[in-house]
Formats: sequence, structure tokens, C-alpha cells
Amino acid sequence: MMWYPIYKRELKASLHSPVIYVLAGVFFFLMSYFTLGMMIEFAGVYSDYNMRQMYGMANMNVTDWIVRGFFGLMNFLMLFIIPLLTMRLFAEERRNRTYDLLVTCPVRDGDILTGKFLAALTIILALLAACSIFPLLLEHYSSPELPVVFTGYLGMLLTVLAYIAFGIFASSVTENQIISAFLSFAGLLFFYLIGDVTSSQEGWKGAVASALSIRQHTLSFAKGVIELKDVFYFCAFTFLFLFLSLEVLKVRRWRT
Amino acid sequence: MIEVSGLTKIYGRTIAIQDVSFSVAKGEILGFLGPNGAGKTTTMRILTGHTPPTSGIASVAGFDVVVDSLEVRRRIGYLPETIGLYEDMTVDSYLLFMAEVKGVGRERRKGRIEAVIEETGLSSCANRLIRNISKGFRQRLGLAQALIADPEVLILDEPTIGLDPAQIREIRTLIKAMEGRKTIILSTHILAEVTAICNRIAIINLGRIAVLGTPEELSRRLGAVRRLSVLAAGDPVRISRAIEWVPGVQSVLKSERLHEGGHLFHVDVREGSDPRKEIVSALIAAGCDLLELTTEGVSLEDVYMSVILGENRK
Repeated sequence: MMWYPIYKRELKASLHSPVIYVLAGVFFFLMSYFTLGMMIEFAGVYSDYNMRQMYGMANMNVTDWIVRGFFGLMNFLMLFIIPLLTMRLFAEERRNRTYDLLVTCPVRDGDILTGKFLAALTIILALLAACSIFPLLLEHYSSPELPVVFTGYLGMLLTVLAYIAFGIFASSVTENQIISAFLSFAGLLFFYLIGDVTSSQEGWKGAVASALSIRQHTLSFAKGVIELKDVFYFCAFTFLFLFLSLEVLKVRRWRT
Repeated sequence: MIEVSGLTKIYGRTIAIQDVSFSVAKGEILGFLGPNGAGKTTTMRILTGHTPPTSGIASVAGFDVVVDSLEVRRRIGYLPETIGLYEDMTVDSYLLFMAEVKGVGRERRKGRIEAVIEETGLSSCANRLIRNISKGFRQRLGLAQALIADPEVLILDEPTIGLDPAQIREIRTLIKAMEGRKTIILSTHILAEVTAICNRIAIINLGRIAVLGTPEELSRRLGAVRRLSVLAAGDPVRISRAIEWVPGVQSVLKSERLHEGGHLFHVDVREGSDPRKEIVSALIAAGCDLLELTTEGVSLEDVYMSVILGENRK
């Protein structure tokens, strides 16, 4: 339980900083703007029989049009939000030299890492939970496929675990928060987009790119299916980068 | 309580400390004295588990700093040279956090926080944000967090740096009061500080311990010379020549400052000899008037300078 004081302090520090409120504000604005946009567009097309014929979508439904779009949008925004949230976790402590004192306290590097990871996760989960107002709204006015909403959220949870782990890793390698944010954003974008080259690549290259791709692994969740290989992918991604962060912390001890 | 043997730390190509060995008994206060960059901070960082050594062994209360790092860290309080504090916390919430991280039991926390706030004189700013408190209070807060878990061992890296003279005296009194109860290592480059607080002194230079001993031992071992000051009236050349001829006198230096009624001479005397009587007779024989003759003794500053300068010349 030695991670708990670190978790508590980290969470308080995040809530004291204006960054979190700006991030949350921008996130909600974009989420509402685009989700409501999708809803209005759907309503417009759906109510017009001729337009549906024209689009070739006689049997269009809420799940395809809005629920998938909602999760896709949330996943995409997390690519920006999480690097900005995790950038300070280690970089700031190292720059302010508070880390020097923390490592001479009787806590393991693993406790420090766990506390910080869970603090970031708590904030992101709060954001995700607040966004559940949109599926609820949808449920009130229409009937989305609930399993898809459920697996969508599960996929989202696994995705943010992986993003936070990567962001923490980026924060552990530098003292500079800007560099940290940029590294994690660039790295996550790489893993996010790499699957999109699959179509143009044949053979093993395409297969590797697709296996590494974050987006490829979210597709099943969007269909309401939980695939073991997808769950494994996100868990492995998370553990790999948490493990690498721990190694970086160890190596830094030897160097400083 | 603290055992260090053959400790070496190398950063890339720089040797920070080399073959450092010493031990500190329970309740003792050891002072590290040395110029900046001599290796004081590195040695302290190794003892706190902050940095592992390249080679050599260090142990605190019987626990190895590398193998049993966690046990060592449970027993020490550390005040780093430049202390990093969480600026957005208040003084008391910071101390609460440090108490939790250092594993102070829930029921003892409140009492410990009150005790250290009292001891370090922080009560006037307990509710203020750390970002708004003065340098002196920050330094005291650093000391307060080192004391929060009531550790057996204190490692204090320049505890009085940046404080005004009154605060320096308070902190020194506080440290001195813990003598016998806690084992303390502190570093400084203020000579008066080590003589005032420490039982033993280690002069560290160029990554090695140059000398180690009590202040008296150091003066005796290195202070091969004792110093006399002679105030005499008459021709200065004549006076200095008369004193120089006295057996046991090593050197005579005339003070440039003007003195009432005569000239002042600093006379260095060889170890084991006491030529005061002979100096008096020699001056009378030379027809000069002796006005004053006093023993200056050797200050620690002289010892320090002779060690540092002697080594750096090599």
C-alpha cells in the first residue's frame, strides 16, 4: 500500500493545476460538438426516406452511425489528452528535484510508478464516465445495441491503459515536459496509424503493421465482440511500457 | 552505526569519490568539510540510497545501502543540498505526505508533524503554500521532513546554506541538541560550523578523505606549528632578525597593519618547542622593547588551507 500516498498526492496536484480543467473543457466541447453533430445528421438522414435510398442505406441504425463514431472520436481525442496529462508525472518531479527526496524515502520504484499510473487513470476514467451521458441520451431516445456500448467502453478502458503506460514511459525518459508530451503523442500516433498501411502492404510487412496497430485492435470492440487477442494486445502494450519505465527509473538511479 | 569502506563512484570519466572509508559511531556528529565538488554530496547520496556506488561497501545500522536499500532508507532522514519541494502544497500537508511516504504510523502522524513544526520553528507558516514561504523557512521545512519519521540517522547536506546569522544559530543549536540521540553526518564549507557542532571532522578533497579526526587531533596532526604574536617597539628589521635567530622559531612575518607603539610580528614555532622566554631575552639583548607576547594557537582554518592547498599543488 505504499503507492497510496503517492497516488493521493499526484491526484491532488493534478486537480490543483489548471491544465486538467483546460483539458477536460476542450475534451467535453469536442465530444459534445461532434457527437451531437452525428446525432443531428443521423436524425436528418433517417427521417428522409428518399435520402436514405440515395445513400443506399435502407436499414441504417444508431449503433453504426453514432455509437461507433462516438468511441472512435473518444479514442482519437485521447491521443492528445493523455500525453498532456502524463507529461508532468516524472518530468516535473525530476526538474523540480522533488524526485531526489522521493527516492531516498522507503518506497519502491514500483510503488511510485503504480501511484502515478493510477492517478492518471483515475482522471481519465472520470472523463470517460462523464462522457457516458451521450450513450445514455441515445438510449433514452433510441435503442442502440447495448452490447456494443459495453464492449466499446471495455475497448476504451484497455486503450487508455496502454496510452497512459506509454505516456508515463515518455515522461520517465526526460526532464522536459514538452519533449515528454511530444514523444508520447508521436509514439502513440505511430501505433495508431501503422495499421492503415496494411492495405497497401502485402505479406509479412502488412501483417506486422496490422498486429501492432492500435486501431486494428479496437475494431472488434466496435462490433460488440471481445477478442482475446485484442485484450492481450492492450495488456501486453501496457505491461511492456510500464516495465520499460521501471527500467528507466532504475538506470537513472545509476547515472544521477 | 555507519560503516563505509573503499567507496568509489565514477560518473562516465569523472571520478567523484575514490576509496573513501570511515565510520561513525552511534550518537556521533561527523562533519564533512571541503571545497565545492570535493565529493561530499556524492558520499551522502550513496549513504541515503539515492545513488548506488560504483564499488566499495557502505552500511547504515548494519544494512547494506545497495542490498538492503529499503531498510537503510527507513532509518535515515536526508536533507539534500538543493531541496525540491512540492510548491503547490501547504507546509503541513507536505509534512503529512512525507510522514506517509516514510511509513509513520497513522496514529503517530499528527503528533510527529506537530513535534517537528515546533522543533524547526515552522508554526507561523504551517498553513501557507510552500511556493510563498521564504528561503529560511524552506530550509527549515527541509530539516523538518528529514526529522519527521524520527530517524536514527540524519544526513544533512549543507543544512545552514542560505540562512541569515540568527537562523544559522538556531539550526546549529537544534542539530547540536540531537547529539547522542541521533547519528549525524553533515557537510559544510563553513569552518566555524564544524568546530561548533561536530565531534569529528573529515576534510574531503579531490574525492578522497584527506584527514579525519577530532578538531584537536587535526590541529595536532597537521598543526606542526604554533603561532605567537609579538608586539615590539624599535627597528622592525632588527626585531625580526633577533627573533629569527632564536632556536625553535620557524618563521617570522611582519604584520602590515599599524599598531600602537610598535610593530606586530607573527611567529611560527616548531612543534614541541616553546621559545617564548628566549624571544624575550633576544629582544632585550637587541635593545628592543617588548610590548606584548601572546599565543595564537593554530586555527582549523590553517589546517584546512594547508590540506587543501598542499593536495591541490601535487
